[in-house]
Amino acid sequence: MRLSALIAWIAAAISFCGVAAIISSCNSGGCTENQTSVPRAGFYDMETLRQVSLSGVEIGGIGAPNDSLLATGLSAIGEVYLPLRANKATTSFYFRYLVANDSTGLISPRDTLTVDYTTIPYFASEACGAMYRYTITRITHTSLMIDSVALTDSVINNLDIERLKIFFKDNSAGEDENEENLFI
Amino acid sequence: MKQIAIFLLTLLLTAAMSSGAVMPTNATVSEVWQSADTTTVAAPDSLTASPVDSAAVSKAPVTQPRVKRDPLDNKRTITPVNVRDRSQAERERQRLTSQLSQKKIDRSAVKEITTDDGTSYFVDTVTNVTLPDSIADMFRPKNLYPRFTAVTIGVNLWDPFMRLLGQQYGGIEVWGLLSLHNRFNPIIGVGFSSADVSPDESNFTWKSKLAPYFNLGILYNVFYNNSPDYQLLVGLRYAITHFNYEVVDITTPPGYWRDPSTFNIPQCSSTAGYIEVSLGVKVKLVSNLSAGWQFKFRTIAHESNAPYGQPLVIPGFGKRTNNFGVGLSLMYTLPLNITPRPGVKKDKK
Repeated sequence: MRLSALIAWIAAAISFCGVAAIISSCNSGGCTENQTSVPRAGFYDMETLRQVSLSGVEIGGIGAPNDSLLATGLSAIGEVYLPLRANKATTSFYFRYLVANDSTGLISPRDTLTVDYTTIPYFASEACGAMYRYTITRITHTSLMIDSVALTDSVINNLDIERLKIFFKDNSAGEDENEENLFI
Repeated sequence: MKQIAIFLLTLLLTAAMSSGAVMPTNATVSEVWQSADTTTVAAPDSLTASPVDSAAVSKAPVTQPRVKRDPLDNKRTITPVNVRDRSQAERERQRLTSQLSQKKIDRSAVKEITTDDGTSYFVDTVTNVTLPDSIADMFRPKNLYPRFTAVTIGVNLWDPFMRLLGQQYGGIEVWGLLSLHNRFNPIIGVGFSSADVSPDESNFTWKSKLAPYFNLGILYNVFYNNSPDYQLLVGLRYAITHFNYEVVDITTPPGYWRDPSTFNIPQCSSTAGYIEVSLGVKVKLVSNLSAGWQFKFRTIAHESNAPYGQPLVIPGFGKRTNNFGVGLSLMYTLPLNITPRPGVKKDKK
C-alpha cells in the first residue's frame, strides 16, 4: 500500500476518533432552572394593579420548625417564595405586619394564606434531577391587608416563574396617622 | 480515559485496514455492449477544402478562428455538427433523436472510441454517424452493477465498546442490507438496549429494562460505479421502540420545612419513534469482511405522553439531550453478482 494512502487512512481514523470523543462527551450542561418546585408570589397594589415592595412584613410558614421565617420584614421585598410541603395536601403561611401599637393595643396584626394542592413525583431532566410537582386546587386567605390572590398557573414545577399575585389593600387613604404605610 | 481508549481502538482498526486496503479507484467502465463488427468509416467528400482567392486575401485580410480538427473527420460520411452553427447542431440532434426513437440506430452497433487525448466518442458503426453528447449520454449506463449486487449483515459495536468504558446505557444492534446496483441499499436493523444511569451529583437513579428497537431505512452509496469494497454511504432511517422505565432512589433535601424525603417514580412505559440521518464509510478488511463507521444525527419524531416526565434514555437513540451519535460496525458481505456488466472493447486512437 502506498505511503500516502496509509497516511490518509490514519488521518481519517484520527479525525473520526476526535469527533467520536467530542460527540460522546456532549451533554446538556448544568441545570438552568430550579432543582425543586417552589411557587413564587409577587406583591401588587389592588388600586393601581402595579407591583409594589412591602416593608415591615414578616412572612413565615405556620408550623415551620423553629418558627423560621421566609421574610424578616427588615427590608422591603416585592416577592417571596412559598415552599409547599411534599408530604401534606395543604400548607399555610402568615403575613405579620410589623406596625406600632395603636390605641386598641393590637400588636402586629397578620393575614393567613392557605394553599391546597395535589402532589406527584416528577423527573425534570438529568441536570435538574427528580422532584415533586404540585397542582394547586384552592387558595384561601384572610382579608386584613390582603385583598385578593390571583393564580397565573396552577401547575407548580421547577420553572422560576411567578405563579401567585397577592393584591394588598392600599392603606394610604383615610388611614390613622400612626399607621405606617406598607407600600414603598 | 474514554477518549484514549477510543483512539487506540481506532488505530488498531486502521492498521488492520491498512494491511489490505487500497484507495478507491475510479473503475469507470465504458464497455457496456457486446462488440459489434468493426466497420471502416469512409472519408467524407464534403470536407474537401475549396481553393483560396489570393487576390481577395491580399485586399482584405480576414482572420479565421482556429478550429480544432476532429480526428474522425476523415472518416465521417456526413458533415459533423459544427459548433459555430447552433441551429445546425439542434437540427442534427433532432434528426438523430428521431432516428433513435424510430429504432433506426442499432444500439448494438454503437461503439465507443477514445482518442489519445482522452476524448471519447460514440459512433454508430453501421451508419458511421458520430453521436453528439446529448445522444451519447443515453447510451452511457447509469448503473454498472446488476440489480442484486450483494447482501451485507453487520453488527454495531459502538455501544458495547462504550459500555466497557463506563457508559451506563446502550446495547447492541445487528442489521442487514441488500445492495441494489451497488447504489441503493435498503436496510433493516434490530437492537436491544437497557439503562441504569446514576449521574454524578444527581439525586436519582434512572433505570430501563432491556428493550428492543427496530429501524428501517435506506443507504445511498455515493461511489456506486466504483468497487463495492469501498463505499461512502448517506443514510436515512426511521426507528421505533417500546420500553419501560422507572426512577428510583430519589432524595430531596430537607428544605424550609425540614422534611427529608426519599421516593420513587412508579414504572412507566413509553413508545418513541425517531429519524436518523447518517454519513458513513465502508472499507474492506479481508475477504468478505468489512468495517465501517458512521456519524449520525437523530431527532425524536414522536413519543408517548409522560405524566411523570420524559424518559432520559431512549433505546437506540441514547440520551434524549444528545442528538448526535456514532457507529462502528463490523460487516460480512455475501456477493450475489458483483461483476460489472460486460461491454464492448474500448478502442484507443
